[in-house]
Parts: sequence; C-alpha cells; structure tokens
Amino acid sequence: MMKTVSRAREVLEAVSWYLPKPATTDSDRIETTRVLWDLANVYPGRLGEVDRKNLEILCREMAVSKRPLRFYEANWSKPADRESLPTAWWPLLIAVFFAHCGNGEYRNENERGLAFKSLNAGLSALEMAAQTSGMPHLSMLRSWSEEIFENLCCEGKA
Amino acid sequence: MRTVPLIVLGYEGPLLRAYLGMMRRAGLRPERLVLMVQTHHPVNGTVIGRWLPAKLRMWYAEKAQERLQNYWPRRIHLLHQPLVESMARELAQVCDAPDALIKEMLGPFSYQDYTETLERVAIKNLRDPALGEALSRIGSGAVLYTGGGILPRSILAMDGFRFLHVHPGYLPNVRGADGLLWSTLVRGRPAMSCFYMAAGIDTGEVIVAEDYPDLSFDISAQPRPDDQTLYRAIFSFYDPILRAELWVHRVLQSVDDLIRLPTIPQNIADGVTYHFMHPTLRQKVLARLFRSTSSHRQPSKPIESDVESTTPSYYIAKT
Repeated sequence: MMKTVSRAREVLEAVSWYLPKPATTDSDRIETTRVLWDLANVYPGRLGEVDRKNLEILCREMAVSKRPLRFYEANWSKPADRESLPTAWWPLLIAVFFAHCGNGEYRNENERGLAFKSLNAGLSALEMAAQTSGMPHLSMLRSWSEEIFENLCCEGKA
Repeated sequence: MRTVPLIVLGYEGPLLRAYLGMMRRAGLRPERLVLMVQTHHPVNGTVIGRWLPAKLRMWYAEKAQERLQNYWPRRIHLLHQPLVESMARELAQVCDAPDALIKEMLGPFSYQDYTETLERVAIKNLRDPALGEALSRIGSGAVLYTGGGILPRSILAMDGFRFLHVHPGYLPNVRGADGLLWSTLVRGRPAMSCFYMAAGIDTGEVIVAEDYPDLSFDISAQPRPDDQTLYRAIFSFYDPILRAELWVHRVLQSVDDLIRLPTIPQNIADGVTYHFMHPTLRQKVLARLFRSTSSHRQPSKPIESDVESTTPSYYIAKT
C-alpha cells in the first residue's frame, strides 16, 4: 500500500512540478487543467462525489472524443471554440487516471469498477500520447502502467 | 406455438436470430417483427445497391445485410469449429442444446417463420423518420429492441409504446459498452439485465437482473485464435445466447403484460458506466474466458490467414 502511494506521488510530482497552477475563477466554464490539478491533489484520499464525477467524465472524453478539451461549458458541454488540452498537460492527465486506479484494495465493487475504468482511460490516453511527438514522461508512465496493470489484474478475480 | 403481444425491433444478425430462435424453442413467437434494413452502408455511407431500381434495392439491401451481419459468426464457425464447439459445450450450463441454436443462427433464416407479422422498414439509421412512421402505423405495444446503437428520444417517447432491452451486465452495477467483458473483469462472472429503455445509456427501470455461472471455454493452444477472433466469437455466440436466455426464460415465459412489468428504478449514482475496453485489458479478460489447452484437437479447417477476407470488422458495433 505505502509503496503504491509513494510511487504514485513520485510520478504525480514528476509530471506536474513545472506546470502553472491553474487559477480559480468565478466563470461557469470548466477548466480541465483545474480539474486535473484537483484530482492530483486529492490523491491518495478517497474521491468525493464531485471528483469522482469529474474523473468519470474525463474517462468518457478519452473513450468518446479521444482528445479532451482545455475548457468546457458548464455541465461539461462542449464549447463552440474547441481547444485541445495542451500537450504539456497530458502526462498529468495520464498520471491522474493511473493514480486513481488505487492499490487493488477496494471497499466495494463500484470502487473496483471505477479503478478499472480509470486504468482503461489511462491506457487509452497513454496510447494517444505516444502518437504525439515530444510528449514528455512517456517511458515513466508506460512503466508505471505496467505496474498498475499487474497490481490490479493479478489480484482478486481477474 | 403461442403468439406473444410483443413487437421485436432489430437488425439482422446473431442477436436477433438468438432471440427469435430461443423464443421458438420455448413455443413462443412475437406478434410482430419489425426488421430494420439499412439503406446506407454502415461505414462509407453510400446507398446500398444505388444502381438498382427502388423495388430491387430493398431486396438487395436485405441480402447484403444478411451477409454482412452474419459474416463473422459464419467465418468463425467455418475456421474455428473447435472454438464454437467448446462455447456450445459450456453454454449448455445456461440453456438447452446451444449447439442446435447456434446451428440455427448460422443457417438460412426465414424471419417469416418466427413471427405472426413480418414488416421490413428501410432506414438510413436510427434517426431516420421512417422508423417512427413505421411504429406509428403499428400504434402501440411492448417493443423488444434487439439492436445496438441508441434509440432516439423521439422514438422512446412515443405514446403507447414501451421499449425493452437486454443489457449484458448487472444493472445498475455495470452499464455501457462491452458489458460482458467488464462484468467478467470486475465481478468475476457474466450477468444480464432486462429493463425499460430510458433516455440515458442503460439507465431505465430494471425488470430483472441476473448473474450467470462463470463460464470459460477450453480452446486449442496451437494455434490459439487471435484476440480479435475471440472477441468476435463472444458477440457471435456467447453474448446473444445469454441475452436470449434471460429474455425468454426470465422475462417472457413468466409474464403476460409486457407493458406493465414490476420494476426497480435505478439510482444513477450507483454503478459504473463503462466504455469499450482497451485491448490490453481485453486481452486479460479473453485469456480468462478462453483457456488454452494443449490436448484440444486441432481445427479441421485452415487457419484464418489462408482465407481471403472480404468484409471489414465493423459489424460489432454493439450496445
């Protein structure tokens, strides 16, 4: 457990220390970078309702559009001016997905399911990121994804 | 043969065939079958048989759909017979004589023999107004929607109709795509749920949800069919037969009024909505579902690469 947490912290730190901290705004617009920042900071705590919803929406964005946007309108509707999440933020996006896979110990089936869903989104994001030239931290994230995969898939029923 | 007050709405393919075949074995047939025939190619969007006169075009489109939607089940049966036999053996744990049902699903299929009234409706896609018009002409009734894709809100909101669907996952726990795979990965066993369709994905009121035995299929290790073939085999046989089993034996046989079945509302906050599974995770689930054995007899036909492929892999666009 401790090993998993320290590894996740190490990766989250490595992929985010150089990123500008997103400012808090009064706008209804949802800033994906802010959401990622919050999801990174909540780790290793359990996700609250809002964070869980946001994580699931990011998973959906990865599955459906493959390219999360930098901003969304209120309620995560897509804005007219669609700007992709900048490349510099992709390693944090991937790390957030993997961090919230947890450590293989879950209180219930839904937590376990969300962990796999997050892993699924992280694997897709990693694959997309690998197609972008100059994407930083790819080898570290790839190696971490293998550890997480082993951790999740080799315990329990799967 | 008892006629059930039911409209079955679906596209040609293994799912529709499994439902109708299983119903017939139970001595049941739907009052009406609305067979949706796609007028446009599902991938490139061109009109199917556009050089033909209108009358012949419908006939041609139906034939083309029959070949397209049954391509992979037939091909897998042809090239990986031991795989199909193994699946049939295991499926005998959940239904009677699955081998005969699979044979029926693969063969020529006269839809007229499975329903009192057969109606064909030519549509470009599910948003085509022709679908709503066809249902309006029918007037009202319980509709089993057997297809993939999302029915438009305008259809779901039609007065006098209630739309039922069988989802390959335990609702509300497992919603969304690749339900059978996610159920196996997360819950350790397959499950099926029947529900009244609502606007959200798999969010309607649940009629019945049931777990099934944790099946696994022994297959030859040398040569083991590739993952894409195994994935297609799931949606050619395993998924359709489990859905049909739940529908016929857990829903249809025990009720008379399909419009007003007792239900349990879903709390949308419960459960997880999944998306299509990444190949890395899928490989894990397929390894669990299809266990390689060295003693299994070899396939009696040449392996896949020896046969020219003429149809792309788009038919598995599932719920």
